[in-house]
Amino acid sequence: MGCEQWREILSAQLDGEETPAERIAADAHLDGCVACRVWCDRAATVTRRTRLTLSTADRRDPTADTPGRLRSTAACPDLADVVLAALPVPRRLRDRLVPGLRTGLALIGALQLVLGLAQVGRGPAAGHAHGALDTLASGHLWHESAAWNIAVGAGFLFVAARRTPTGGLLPMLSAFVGALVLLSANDLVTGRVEPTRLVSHGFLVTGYLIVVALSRPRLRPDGPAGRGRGDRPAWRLRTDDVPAAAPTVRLLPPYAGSARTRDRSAA
Amino acid sequence: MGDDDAEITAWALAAGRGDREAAARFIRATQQHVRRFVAHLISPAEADDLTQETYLRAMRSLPSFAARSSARTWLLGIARRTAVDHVRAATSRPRTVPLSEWHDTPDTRGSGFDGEVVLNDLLLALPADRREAFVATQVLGLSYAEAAEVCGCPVGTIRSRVARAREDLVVAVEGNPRAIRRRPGSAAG
Repeated sequence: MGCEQWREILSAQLDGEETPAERIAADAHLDGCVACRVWCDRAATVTRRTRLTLSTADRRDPTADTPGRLRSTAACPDLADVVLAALPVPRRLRDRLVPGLRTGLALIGALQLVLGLAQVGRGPAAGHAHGALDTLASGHLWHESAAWNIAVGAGFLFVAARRTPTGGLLPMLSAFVGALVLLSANDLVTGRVEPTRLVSHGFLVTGYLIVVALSRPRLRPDGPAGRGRGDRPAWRLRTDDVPAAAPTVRLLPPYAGSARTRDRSAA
Repeated sequence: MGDDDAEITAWALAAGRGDREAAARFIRATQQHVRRFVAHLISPAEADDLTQETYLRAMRSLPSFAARSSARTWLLGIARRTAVDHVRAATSRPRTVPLSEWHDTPDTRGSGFDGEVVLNDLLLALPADRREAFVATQVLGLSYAEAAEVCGCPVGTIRSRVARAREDLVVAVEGNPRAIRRRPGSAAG
């Protein structure tokens, strides 16, 4: 074994990381090798000086020959506030909530689509007596409502998949859901529809609520999408809130009460 | 240090779950360590920036921190990668800071030792892998096992790198005895 390897062991010994066997062997080597003895002394000096001048206040001290606390580190600025301020606050909520809502919406959209397609295939006579059987035998009305179901499902899927702002869909869906709720309530009261039939509207209402939630400004997907840095502050400057300060009359320097010369062009 | 470590790790886990109070405690408890580490890996002048960058990275990956190692070594590992990336970025573009300015910040370190500046110079002259092993074990007082986690290498590698760093320093100090002599009252630089 060359001195190179012994010195590695001696170095480990300075850090208290040697094995007992190595310690004994190294001691034996030091007895016989002057060069390594000198090296060991110097290495110990360098180590001690390094720890004395550069070490932290709270570190462990394997050789126990240096004072642990040398100088205060109070001069260093506290980074906690800076770092925390740079973190986006709503990001975690958003990151968890939005994908969940979106998958939910996709599921509902798919269900709605299937419902609509099934409705087309089944025809009005097959399943539920929708109360329209008696008078119109309204095959076309049935198809029309199927088309609506398909359209709504497609809309939900689109919103879920494209991450586009949901704004344009909102008025239509609101009117649709509002009208449907009112009409359903009316039908329920007058006994023109079974309550079980109304359950399928639950999907529609849930999907509608998700779309409303997704259109909330904080959840809107037009922010830093997905795995972007998300460093943007949560607030925004609304320039249209600031009144355009354009006074129509402006006072010129010779104000009332101030001394003025008669000839304004000379002032 | 063991108790400390457990506490810091607990704070890190809580911070990963979104507890900002715990995040602040975690940062306050560890920032001196991180700053010293990057100061000695890169330069004191850039320590603040690099420390901040380290924490921004750490905060981003805190939710996936699983406490397989202690939060302190996990964080120092991030600091090391930040430093490595910094060096990579700095060498890929022309250097704008002259070398002599690197050590021209005696006030921020509040040092009464001339030797510290010289020692710092000697440390910064070490090859990067030896320097990080030496700083982690000597300056931060990590064990070899902890340093191995920070540097992402086997314990034996840390051991030999520390020994090489010592050899380099012994040789360098022989050529520059000011590094081990204390000179109180003299201006740094």
